Amino acid sequence: MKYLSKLMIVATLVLGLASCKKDNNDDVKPVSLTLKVAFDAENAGYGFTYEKTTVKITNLTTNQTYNTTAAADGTATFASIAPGNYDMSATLAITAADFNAKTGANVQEDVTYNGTLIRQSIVGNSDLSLTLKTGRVGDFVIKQIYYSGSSASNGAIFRDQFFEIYNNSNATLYADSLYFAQVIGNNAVSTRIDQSQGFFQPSGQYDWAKSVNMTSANPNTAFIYAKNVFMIPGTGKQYPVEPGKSIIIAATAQNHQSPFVGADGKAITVKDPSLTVDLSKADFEVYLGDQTNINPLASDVNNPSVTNVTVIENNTNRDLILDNLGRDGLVIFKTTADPKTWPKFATPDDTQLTINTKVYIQVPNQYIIDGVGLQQTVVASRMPKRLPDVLDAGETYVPAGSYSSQSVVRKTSRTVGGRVVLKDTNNSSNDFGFLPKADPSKAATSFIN
Amino acid sequence: MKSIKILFFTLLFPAVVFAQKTTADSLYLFKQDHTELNYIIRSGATLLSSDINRLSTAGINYQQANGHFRTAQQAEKSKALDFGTSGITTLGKFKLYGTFNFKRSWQDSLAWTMQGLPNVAEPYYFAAGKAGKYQRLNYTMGGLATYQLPGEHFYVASGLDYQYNTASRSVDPRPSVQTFHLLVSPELIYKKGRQSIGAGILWGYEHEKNKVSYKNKDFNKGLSYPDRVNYMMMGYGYHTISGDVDNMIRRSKYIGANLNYAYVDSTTTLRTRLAYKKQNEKNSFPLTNSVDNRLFSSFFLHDYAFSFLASQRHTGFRHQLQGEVDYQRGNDRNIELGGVNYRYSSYSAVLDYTIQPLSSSSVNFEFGLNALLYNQQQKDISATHTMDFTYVKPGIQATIYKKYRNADRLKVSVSPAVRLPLSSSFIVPSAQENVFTYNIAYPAYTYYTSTVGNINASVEYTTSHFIKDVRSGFAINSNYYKPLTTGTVYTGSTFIPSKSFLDLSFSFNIYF
Repeated sequence: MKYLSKLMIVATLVLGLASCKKDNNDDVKPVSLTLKVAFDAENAGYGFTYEKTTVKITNLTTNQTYNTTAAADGTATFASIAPGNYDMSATLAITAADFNAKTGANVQEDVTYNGTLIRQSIVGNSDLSLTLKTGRVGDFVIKQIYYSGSSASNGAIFRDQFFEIYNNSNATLYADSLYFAQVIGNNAVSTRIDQSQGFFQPSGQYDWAKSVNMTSANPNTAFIYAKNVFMIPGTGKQYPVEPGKSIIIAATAQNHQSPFVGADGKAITVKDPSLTVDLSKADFEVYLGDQTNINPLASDVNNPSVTNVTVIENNTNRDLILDNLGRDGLVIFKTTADPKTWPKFATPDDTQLTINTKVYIQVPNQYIIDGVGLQQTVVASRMPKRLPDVLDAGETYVPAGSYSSQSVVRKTSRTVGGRVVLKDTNNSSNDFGFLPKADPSKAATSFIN
Repeated sequence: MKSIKILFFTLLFPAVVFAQKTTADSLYLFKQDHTELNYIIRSGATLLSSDINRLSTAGINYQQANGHFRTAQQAEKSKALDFGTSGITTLGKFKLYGTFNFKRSWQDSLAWTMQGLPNVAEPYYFAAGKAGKYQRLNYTMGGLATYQLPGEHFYVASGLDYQYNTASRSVDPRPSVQTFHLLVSPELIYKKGRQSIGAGILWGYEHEKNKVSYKNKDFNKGLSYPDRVNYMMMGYGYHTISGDVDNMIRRSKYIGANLNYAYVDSTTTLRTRLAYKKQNEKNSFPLTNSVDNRLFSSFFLHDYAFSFLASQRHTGFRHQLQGEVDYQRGNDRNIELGGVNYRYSSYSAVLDYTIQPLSSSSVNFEFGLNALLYNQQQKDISATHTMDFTYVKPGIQATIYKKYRNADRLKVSVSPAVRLPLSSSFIVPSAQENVFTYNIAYPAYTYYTSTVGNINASVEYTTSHFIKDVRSGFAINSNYYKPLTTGTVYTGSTFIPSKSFLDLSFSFNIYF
C-alpha cells in the first residue's frame, strides 16, 4: 500500500495547488460613466443652462435604467453602474418665455432639446459627449400607431393595422396633400452587424454615403429614405382637421371584428373579435388592389365609403404593412415639390444595381413635420436607430411585442379649453406610451396621460 | 437485406471483433469485477495491467424515470432506449478496447434549459419556462489501443472518444441543438514486471450549433406569453431575453494530461489515475448577411481528477476500495461586460469499499460501504447571485449471488443511502431577484438542501438458455429518491421539489 500512500500525497498536492484561491482581478466591477452634454453649434450661443437636463441611460441586457441631472457645466455622472451596452439620452426643456427671450423667437410652446447615444459599450470608466439638438415641433403629429397587429391564430394578424394623425395646434389644418412614408433602415440586430462589410455607420445603420450614385451632401443626416410613400388626396381644403381632432389611416378599412369577403371571394374571419378593431369608419385607407406592379393581398379590399390615399411609391408592398416587430419608422411631410421626382437610391449593401433593385426615395428632412421611430420590444433584438435625432431622438415600442393588439400612442401634455395638447418633444421614448388594445375611435379612450 | 446485414455487423463490430469463446458474464455480474473492468479501460497502462484479454458484450437497455423530486431544469418524466456494445481483445502486439452506444431518449415536462447535453457548469445557454417534450439522439464511439514497441517494456497507446448528439422539441420555443465531440488521448507506457506506468496527453474538439425557433407567430418575439419567452442565460442569474438573437455557435478545445499507474500481483492490485483537462469554450453569434461570427463569451473549465482502485485477497476475502476525487473550477469571460462575470467550482470525493468472501459455494455474498462528498459553488457577479451547497451521502450495499447447477447465475443487490445537506448558502439581494432566481436557482437550492433517502435495488440473471451457446442475461435496476425533509424554500420560488423520484431500467445483454 506504500504506492497508494505516495500517490495520495501527489494527488493531494496537485489538487491543493489547483484549489488555491485565484486572483479575481478580472472580475466584472462597477464602472463610472461621465456624460458631457452640450448644445449643437446652432444653439450653443443662446446661453441656455444645463442644470435641468435629465440624463437617462438604459442597460441593453437587463433593461435597467439609471437617471440623473446634469450639473451647470453639462456634466452628468453615473458613479457606479454595471458594465455593458447602454443607450443614453438627454432631454432639456426650455420654457417658451426663456426661449423667446434668449433667441428672439416667438414660440408658444416649450422647446425641448434632445440628444442620444445608441448602444455604447461601457466596460471601464468612461467619458462620453452628447449633443443636444432640437427639432421641428409639428402642428400635425402622429398620435397613434398600431403596428403590432393582433394574434396570428385568433386575430387579424397585420391586416388591421392603422395609424392616426392629430392636429396638435390651435388652428384648423388641412390634410390635403399630406404625405406619409415608411422609412427604410437596417433591420439587422445591432449586435449581429458585420461592420467590416464597410457600408454601415458606426451605429450599424446604413451609411448612405456609400450608396451607388450618391452625390448628396450629408446623406445620413439631412435625409431619410422612404420605402413607401403615400399622399392624402384633396383639393387643398377638402379634408379639414380641427384642433384636437384626428384622422385614421387604415391598411384596410374594414370591420376586422366581423367577417368580410376578400378580394379572392373567400371570407376573412377572426376567431376572437375582441383582439382586433373596427376600421370601417377610418378616414382613409391604403388600397393597392388597383396597382399593376404587385400582387395585392386578398385582404386588401376596397371600402368604397372610405377615401383611398394616393400611391406615390410602393416598392412591391402588397398593402400598407407596418413591421409588426417594430422594425419601422413613420414620417409625415408636406411639400410643394413632387416626391416622384426626388432622387432614389438603393441601400448601400446593394452594390450591383439591376432593373430589379429596390430603390428608395430620398426625402429631405426639412419637409418632415413629424417622425416616429419604432423599435423592437426585446432589447437584445434592437436594431440601429433609423431616424436622425432632429426628427425623433428616441424610439418607441409596445411592451408586449408583436401580435399583441397593443398600439403606441402619444401622451397627453395638457388640456386647453377642452382641447387635448399631445406631448411633442421630438423624443418618442418620452412622448409615447401604449394602449393595451389599439383604439381607432378617436374618443377619450384613445388618449393616455 | 444486404444493407441490414451491413448495419447489423457495423453496430455489433466491437462485440463481434472482440468475441471470446469463454463466457464473460461473471465479469459483468460481480460488482468488484465490473468495477475493475470499468477502471482498466481508462488508460493504456491500466488496460495493459489487466489479464482480461478477450471480452465482449452487447446489450439493449430501456430506462424510464419520473417524479417531482427534481430540479427545475430536469424532466418530470423521461425514457430512453439504448443499444451498446463493448469489448476487449488482444491481437499480437495490440491490445484493444472498443465501445459503441446509440441512445434515443425522450423527456417530458422539461423546462428552463435548452442545452443539448445537460451541463450544470455551463453558463451560456438558451432557456424558456415552457415545459415540453424533448427528443435526443446520442451516438458515442470510443476506443483504446495499445501497441508494444520494439523491446520489452515500452508501449504506446491512444484513446479515442467520439460523440454526436442532437436535441430538439416540438413546443415553442423549439431548440435544435447538434453537438459533435472528439477527444484523442495518446499515451506512452512503461511496463516492467508487475507495474505499469503511463503518461498521456489529451486533445479534443467540440462544436455545437444552437438554434431556437417558433412555429406559432403569436409566441415569437413578443412578451405576451411569458412562458414562451426565450432567454439567453449568461451566468448564474445574469440573463437577457434573447429575441432575435436566437442562435449561437459553441466551439471548445480540450487539452489535458494524465498519469496512470498499475500494480498487479497474485493477491493485490492497485490502479491509479491522475488527470487534468482544460476546456476552452468560445461562444459566438452568426452575423447577419455575413460568413463571420462574433465572439460574445468564453468559458474556461479546469478539471483535476485523481482516482484509485485497490483490491486485495486476504484471509478468505476479497477486499476492494475505490476512491475518486474530482475538482473543477471555471470562469467565463463576457465580452459585453468586459471581464469575468461567472465563477464555478465543484468537488466530489467518493469512497466505495466492498468485501466478498472467496468462496466456491453456490451462494455468495458481498457487502459494501460507500460515501460521497459533494460541493458546488456558482457565483454571478453582475446578478449578485452566489450559490454554495455541500452534501454527504453515506450508504451501504448488500448483494447476494446465486449460482445454479445449470450454470445460470442470479444477483440481487440492495444499496440504501441517505443524502445529508451540510453547510449551504444562497445569497441574492432581494433587489437582484429575477426570473432565473425564482424559476431555477431557488428550486435548485431547495433540492440540494433537502435530506434525501435513496435506495437502489437490482436483480440480474444470466443464463445460456436464451441463446444457444451464448451467455445472456437480463437486469432490472431501480433507484428511488424520497425527500425526508424538504430543503430551504424561498418565497417566490415557482417550483418546489417534492414527493419522490423513481428511475427504472431494464436491460438485456449478451456476453461473448
